[in-house]
Amino acid sequence: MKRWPVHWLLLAPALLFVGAMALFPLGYSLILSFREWKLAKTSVVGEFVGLQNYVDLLTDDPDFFEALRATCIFVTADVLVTVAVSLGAALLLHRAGRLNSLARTLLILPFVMSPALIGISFRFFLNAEYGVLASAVAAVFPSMKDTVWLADSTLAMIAVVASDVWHWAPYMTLMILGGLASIPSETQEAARVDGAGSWAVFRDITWPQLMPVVAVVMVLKTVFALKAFDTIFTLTSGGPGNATKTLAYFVYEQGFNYYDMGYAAASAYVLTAILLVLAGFYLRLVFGKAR
Amino acid sequence: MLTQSAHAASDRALIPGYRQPAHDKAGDWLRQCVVFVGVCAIVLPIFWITLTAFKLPKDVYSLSAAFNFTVTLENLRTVFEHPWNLGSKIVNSLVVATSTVLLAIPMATMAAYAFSRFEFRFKKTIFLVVIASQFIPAAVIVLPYFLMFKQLGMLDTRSALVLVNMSIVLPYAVWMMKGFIDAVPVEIEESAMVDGAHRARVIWEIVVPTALPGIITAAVFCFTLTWNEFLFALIISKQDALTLPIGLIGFRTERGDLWELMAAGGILITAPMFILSLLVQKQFIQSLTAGSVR
Amino acid sequence: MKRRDILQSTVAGMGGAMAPWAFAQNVGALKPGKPYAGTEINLLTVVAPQFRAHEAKLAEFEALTGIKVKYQYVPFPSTREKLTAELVGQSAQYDVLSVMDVWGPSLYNLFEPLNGMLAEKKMDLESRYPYAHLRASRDGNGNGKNILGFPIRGHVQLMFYRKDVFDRLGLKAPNTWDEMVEAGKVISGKTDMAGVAMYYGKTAGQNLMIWFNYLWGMGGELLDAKGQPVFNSPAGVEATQAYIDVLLKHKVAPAASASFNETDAVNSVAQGKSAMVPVWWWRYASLVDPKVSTLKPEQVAFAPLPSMPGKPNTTYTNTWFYGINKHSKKKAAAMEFLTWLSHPDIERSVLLDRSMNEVVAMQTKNLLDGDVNVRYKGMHVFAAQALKGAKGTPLFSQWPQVSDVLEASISELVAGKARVKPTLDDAAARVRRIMRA
Repeated sequence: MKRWPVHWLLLAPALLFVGAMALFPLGYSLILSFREWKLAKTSVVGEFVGLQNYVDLLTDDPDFFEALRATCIFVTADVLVTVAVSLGAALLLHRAGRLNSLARTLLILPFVMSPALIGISFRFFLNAEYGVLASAVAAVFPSMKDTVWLADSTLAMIAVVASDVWHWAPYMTLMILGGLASIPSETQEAARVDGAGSWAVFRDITWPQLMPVVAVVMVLKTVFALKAFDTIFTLTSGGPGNATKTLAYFVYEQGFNYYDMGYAAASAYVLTAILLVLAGFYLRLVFGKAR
Repeated sequence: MLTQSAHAASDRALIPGYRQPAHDKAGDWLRQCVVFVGVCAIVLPIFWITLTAFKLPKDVYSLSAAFNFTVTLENLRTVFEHPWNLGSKIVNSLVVATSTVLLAIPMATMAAYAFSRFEFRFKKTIFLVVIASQFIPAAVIVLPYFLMFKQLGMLDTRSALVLVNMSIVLPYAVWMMKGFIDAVPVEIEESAMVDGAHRARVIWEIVVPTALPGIITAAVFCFTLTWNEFLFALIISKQDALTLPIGLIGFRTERGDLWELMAAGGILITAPMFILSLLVQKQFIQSLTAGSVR
Repeated sequence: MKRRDILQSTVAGMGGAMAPWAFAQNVGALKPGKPYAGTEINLLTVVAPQFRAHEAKLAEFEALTGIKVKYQYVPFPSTREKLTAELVGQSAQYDVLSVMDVWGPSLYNLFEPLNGMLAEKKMDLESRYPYAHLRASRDGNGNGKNILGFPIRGHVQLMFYRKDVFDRLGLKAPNTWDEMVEAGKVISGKTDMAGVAMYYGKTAGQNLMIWFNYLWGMGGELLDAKGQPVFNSPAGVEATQAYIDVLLKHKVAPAASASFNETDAVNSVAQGKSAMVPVWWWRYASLVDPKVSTLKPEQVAFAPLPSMPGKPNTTYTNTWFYGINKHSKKKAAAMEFLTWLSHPDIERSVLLDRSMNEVVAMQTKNLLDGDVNVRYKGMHVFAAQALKGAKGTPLFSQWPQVSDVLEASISELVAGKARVKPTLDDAAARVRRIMRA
């Protein structure tokens, strides 16, 4: 659809804005990653050190690899569970019924709650002495009566993933419901009249049209999971040990706890690089479909 | 976006896999159970938090006082007093979030339309760059923003927060809306333009109404992101531009997390948002049943 | 003399309950004639009952000097971000800043050395504040010659315990850590309470607060003279083992201690689930406030923190100071404010205020004050004694990273799956790497 550049007019406001607002901070932090700047020593930016920060990060920092490992576990679990739950929930709720329409109304609630409040609340729910969730689980599984959720690496990771899923999955369900709603039902009806079973209808008709929405959900969730900070900060502080310290937490710590600004910038850009690779895959998927 | 309609007959037309032989009643019942469990999973934590808002601190930390406690309205009162001052923070949050959405959504819609309908050089790259601007963790970006606003003399202003939040939400808004605009068939526009309509009119009168559910989805998303944004608000504001998340985190004191106050603040914050989204859902349903989405 | 009379009568005229300004040599005098009238200064601080009490008195200060002070409260966990922004931005959004001791060494560039202004006012902070607190506001890792602020909020640790339970079981307040374990065993044997609420969870270094007492009590050290880690020495290993054995071996702490932070442990006692808790003295208010605790004041007693057999009682400390922003344009006015605020009588009036249970006192004069000790049953004399031998917090710029490594190790150890020596050795390797930088 080649036209004369009206598309630039349409793009201009957004592009100019993002360019103007984001250019300085992004550029500044990128440059910072190539310099040494330890706030404790000097309050002005230090000298140029080339790739030293990156080299130190990737070869000399056991914490970084622990954070990377924790991030892989967290993000994989978080994204898979969220997508599975929201896809399943959307298919379930895409029907008439009073319970279903009540459920659809409630879906927005967890998303609008502050992530910090969710993290703190879950921490209280799981407190081994007075936590209501810990007691409920212990009531159902008596062997877990004395487990201290947040002192066990696996359980703490489960808690962190669960709180993030609780925050996002309902909203993702809404998005997929929207996708389902825009699939015309005539094709499905026609297929059913022809005798196709539910699974075949889903696989051959619903899913191909739903896939773009699910792809958006998946990538969006991945981005937010990789950047997730507030929930982890309030739920476990990265503990026990370093079990739930993800890369996002690591970056924050380097900058605001250890005051090593250059190093923090470098680790942030490593995280960004990971996201860029993932985004590259997604773009191929989305723009690959000819219009 | 929501497939609710008044007539049972057309209900059935919307249901994928619809067939109601007698032996599927079991499947139905199972489905309803799962939905019920899901509803509980959402409602119970919120219910518990709401309950906490009415408890004294000593009852908050006790399981035996879970349902057996003296109800107190003191928390709801305290959060509006000094030094918490949630009242002014609510106002600031409302102003910042509303302004952000009102300014960002039109810009994003236009950009999304351009990405959806046109082919041009570097389209993929520009799209990627726009989205990638949000890949950087906030912790690393916030200090450069601080320096920038200090130079501009805009520290502790709501305008600064609006600008920051717009730069945060624009990439997501463009991304989401591109998907929704993609789903609007291009043929309607083309035929309208063949008939002589100006493209701007086409966008305003055809694309926007059709993609309205998507626009509203994106608007709600952007509003929520701005509403809960914490780190930038913390660093940029001092006293005039303090927003709700700062108020909420303020309840984490030396004495520990004052959960009863956080809960009180939390329900005061969430309730209006919930009501807002209910109203917005009505909008959805109207635009759907008006038949424009098919 | 005449100036003093005027000021005295002014204060009396305001109905101020404050003692008249003592123009003794070391508490400093406000400049006469209100030279800074109309100035507004911003103070970055956190919400604490002590600071709220100070804020309530600001009208008096404004009447005396014409300076308006605005308390800008910041969420406690976010204070460091704000301080970082100030340091980086050099923006003087705040004229006076509150800083915790262990953050000080990274933030020396943020504060204006006060030696000149102190000399001008003939104020001698060394005689007024215990060494363990004052070193927190010195540069040079606590040994430098510049004083960067006034200590304003400082803490010692005490052992709080349930007097009624102890009396009933015929127990005495424990003097040593072993006695604490013994008492704990009696309590968990004969009641359904846990003996002592410990806090091993990973939260802002809280699980190190008692650990240090064990480490130093057994002769261990954090770093040697060259700044290399020695906490994994045999003494350090033994100390750490004893520290976690309270839960793991002797089981006199509730199982939940493994994830407790300080507040959870205090709540455990306040809810009647544990009988003892070693914690900062200011937690006293949480234990006797009827809104927060199920206990009555008569049930709560305290003793100095236990020590190792034969060693004197000591304590770990936590100190906050108020310093003046190096980039502030109102330093002199800020100094007036700090001079006024640090007057011992202000601290004393907060201590004696019956509407609160605020025990925090920094100045030696108030720690030894008769009325204060009557009100708090001798707590402050205990504190003064403990402070004499206190080592104080580690003060060096890499401490935040070292603290993170150590608290992660402790929280890992109480999960019960790791062993002390290898974990501490691994921690030492990481600390060596950190100290190199």
